[in-house]
Amino acid sequence: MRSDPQLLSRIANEDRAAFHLLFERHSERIYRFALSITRRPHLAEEVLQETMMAVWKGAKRFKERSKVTTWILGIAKNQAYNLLRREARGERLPETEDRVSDPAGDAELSVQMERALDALPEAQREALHLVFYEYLSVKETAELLGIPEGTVKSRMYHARQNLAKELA
Amino acid sequence: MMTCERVREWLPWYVTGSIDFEIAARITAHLRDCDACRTEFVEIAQLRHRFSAAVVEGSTPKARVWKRLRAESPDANDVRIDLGSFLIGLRLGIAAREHRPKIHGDLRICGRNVRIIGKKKGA
Repeated sequence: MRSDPQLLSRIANEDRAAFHLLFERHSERIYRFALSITRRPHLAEEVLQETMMAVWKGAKRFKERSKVTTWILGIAKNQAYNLLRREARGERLPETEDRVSDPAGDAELSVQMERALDALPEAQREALHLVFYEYLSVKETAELLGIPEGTVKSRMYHARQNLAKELA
Repeated sequence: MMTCERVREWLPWYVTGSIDFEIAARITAHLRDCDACRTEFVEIAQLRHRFSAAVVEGSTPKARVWKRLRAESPDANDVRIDLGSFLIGLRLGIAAREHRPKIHGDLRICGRNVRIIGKKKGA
């Protein structure tokens, strides 16, 4: 099985089979990360598409000193904030009905969590996602977000406090 | 011995296991003797569980996005055949476009590709 860096080097030579494999491996994590930041499925879908397009066009620029996952999630983060900025400036029409929701399972708990996450600042949601869902270390999270390790820890601290307050 | 403040700073990464073994061992030693930090540890573990459960809910629009990506990467090959070496060789690419195959070929000389069959890239 080819490693992610091997796939990227093939993608740099316009190999679509390699691109498809990388898409299969990472699309779900990109989508869920984007959803954690944007909280809107239609925006997360657009982030996934734009991120993979950026990977297709920029595969040559990947430097092996970082992990492919970290590199891709970094692109996804930038794409998500670009879209949110464009929406805030009125360059895109927001789709008001398109919110994250899940009617299945423990409905009440789920709704409570969704509301709590909606109330958090985007920066805290993205930190929670990278640490709790992607299992990134302090160092990897700091690298991906481009912030000092101390800021990662304090962001996680405030995210936890705010989330616990919202869930209480 | 780590202070409670230091331990709590690291607890989210202790819960996920994304932490150096040496720091994890010091936190384990601290938790053995500190009720307050142990309570905090349990709370964070529960929070992580609920957060992850919320993240994994719902399906992803993978198929739809892939279809659009295929349409937006016109230079991509579905099948590629490389002959020769890095210095001199031939690359043949076949891509399916709206039910018709598109074939192109590049002659490789000293690592540089020159299109000899099909349209030039971006043309």
